[in-house]
Amino acid sequence: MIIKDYGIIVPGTVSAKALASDMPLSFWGGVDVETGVIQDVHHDLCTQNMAGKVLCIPYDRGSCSGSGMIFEMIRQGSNPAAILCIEAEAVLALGPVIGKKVYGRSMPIRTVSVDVLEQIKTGDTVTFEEDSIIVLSD
Amino acid sequence: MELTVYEQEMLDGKYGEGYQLAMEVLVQMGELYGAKRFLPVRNAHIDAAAYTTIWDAGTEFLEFLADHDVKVPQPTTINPISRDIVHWKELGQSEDFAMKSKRMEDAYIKMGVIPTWTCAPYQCGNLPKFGEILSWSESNAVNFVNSVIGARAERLPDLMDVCCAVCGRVPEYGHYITENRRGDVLFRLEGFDDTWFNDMFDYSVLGYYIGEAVINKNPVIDGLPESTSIDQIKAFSAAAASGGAVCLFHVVGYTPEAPTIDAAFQGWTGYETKIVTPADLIEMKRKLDTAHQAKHKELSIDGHPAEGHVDMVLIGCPHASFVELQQVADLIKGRHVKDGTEFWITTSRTQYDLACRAGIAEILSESGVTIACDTCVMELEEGNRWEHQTFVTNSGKVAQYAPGINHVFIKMASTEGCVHAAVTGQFPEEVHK
Repeated sequence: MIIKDYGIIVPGTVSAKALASDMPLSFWGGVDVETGVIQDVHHDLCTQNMAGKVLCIPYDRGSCSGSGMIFEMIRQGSNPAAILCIEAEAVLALGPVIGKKVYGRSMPIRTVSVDVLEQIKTGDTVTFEEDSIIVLSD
Repeated sequence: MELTVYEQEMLDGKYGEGYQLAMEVLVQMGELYGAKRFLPVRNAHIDAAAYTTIWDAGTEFLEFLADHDVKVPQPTTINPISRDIVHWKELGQSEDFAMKSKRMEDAYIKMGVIPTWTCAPYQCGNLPKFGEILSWSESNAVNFVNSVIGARAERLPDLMDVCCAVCGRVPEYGHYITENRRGDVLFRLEGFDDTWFNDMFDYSVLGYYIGEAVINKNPVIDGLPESTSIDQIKAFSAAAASGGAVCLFHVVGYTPEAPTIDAAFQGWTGYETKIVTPADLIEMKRKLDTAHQAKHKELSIDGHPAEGHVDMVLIGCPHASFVELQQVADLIKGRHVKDGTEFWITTSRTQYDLACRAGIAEILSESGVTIACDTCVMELEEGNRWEHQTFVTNSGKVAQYAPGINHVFIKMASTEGCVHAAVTGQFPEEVHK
């Protein structure tokens, strides 16, 4: 699948395996900051590791501290390779914005429609190109 | 973004690298979210206070600002930290971890932040005015002041809240803008008799239910009783911001921007109506209760079967008010927390001092209740001292986060049920069947 209709919240190109769910996630309380493992027992990705993956979720939710978690994950290298979602509120974007300034490391974030996001499955290869997003089925 | 002369000077570094870094972050974030300008603020509350929320990266960021002589220009209160500043040793925290918290505390105090260390600043001397533009963070607090007071706040991410507080500016986006404060979905409560909504617990379950249903939209709730108290709406607010990312809700006839349904929707009539029934909330509570899973862990403490045994009772998320402390003291007076069970209440040191003056703290302490100030059970050291244990709580926010953070099982209960659980060590009866 080649996606041309998307939004860029945080710029950058990347290619990695998808970790996908239709449930929103709170980074604070929901993720182990050292490993990137999801620990929210109410989430269907609980025990899965997001480090180095393209995390595909509809939205974030919950705590405003999600940004501090992502910032620290970027410092440690346990962050997802990228986030693909329907709407990215500021709690998701702040970590990569400060991470770029302080540590020179960021994390691209792009948005797509719900119909597109629903087609992406865990294990698919997701590539953020300069002018498109390419999804190859597992 | 269009900047004023003063804002441009901050960005250009005229006042030093600290303000410059903060302003660079704000301009970038403002542009990402379509803000055309900044709004000046006279009141700030910072969320990024616990070591277990911003870690070493956040600490280094704060120290950079403090070392560059950045000061907050307006009164600025702040969230709980990762220790009780007086009793951290008694509460079992290590020196190493306490000092990590102290590093952050020192940076904030150097910046002129008022060390309230509470997530309910609106019950601790920082009570905004209707319509006031705020630089606030902390999901429960933002939801509360937006909705219950009608002040204007947005869910500022941790560290962006710090940048806003030091620059005295917020980008004009989201819920600062009148049109974005319009209700999106109407929730009509039907079939609830007078056994409902007498306790914070029902409000927690309703809040979580609505939060999960709307995620980041503005819900309008019709049908809550007139008797709804400030602490009850606080519980609703916290749970709605945990189950979803609710930043503003309207309760018809209760919150100031919703004298009528029409006002809540700013005259718009295209909204969807959802009916909420007792069965929905009973089902929601079942989902939040994870305690039934504990029996599979073959836990047995003091000969009690794991199912039904209570290891810990937790009240005070968000931080308990004076009124909540008084309510628990009235319920537990003359009784004692059972051996093998802990009962913690988390609160601000300000509320605790008031409780001392009224003799309430003494009653609680004689009954075996642990009062932890300045902090939060979910922000203490990652020692997992409660791992695999069962918590009873009246808080939807605890029900959402504690299973992941503290690796515990949850049983939700009313405040009265929580006290029962603490003194008997057993689950209370279900209020709604």
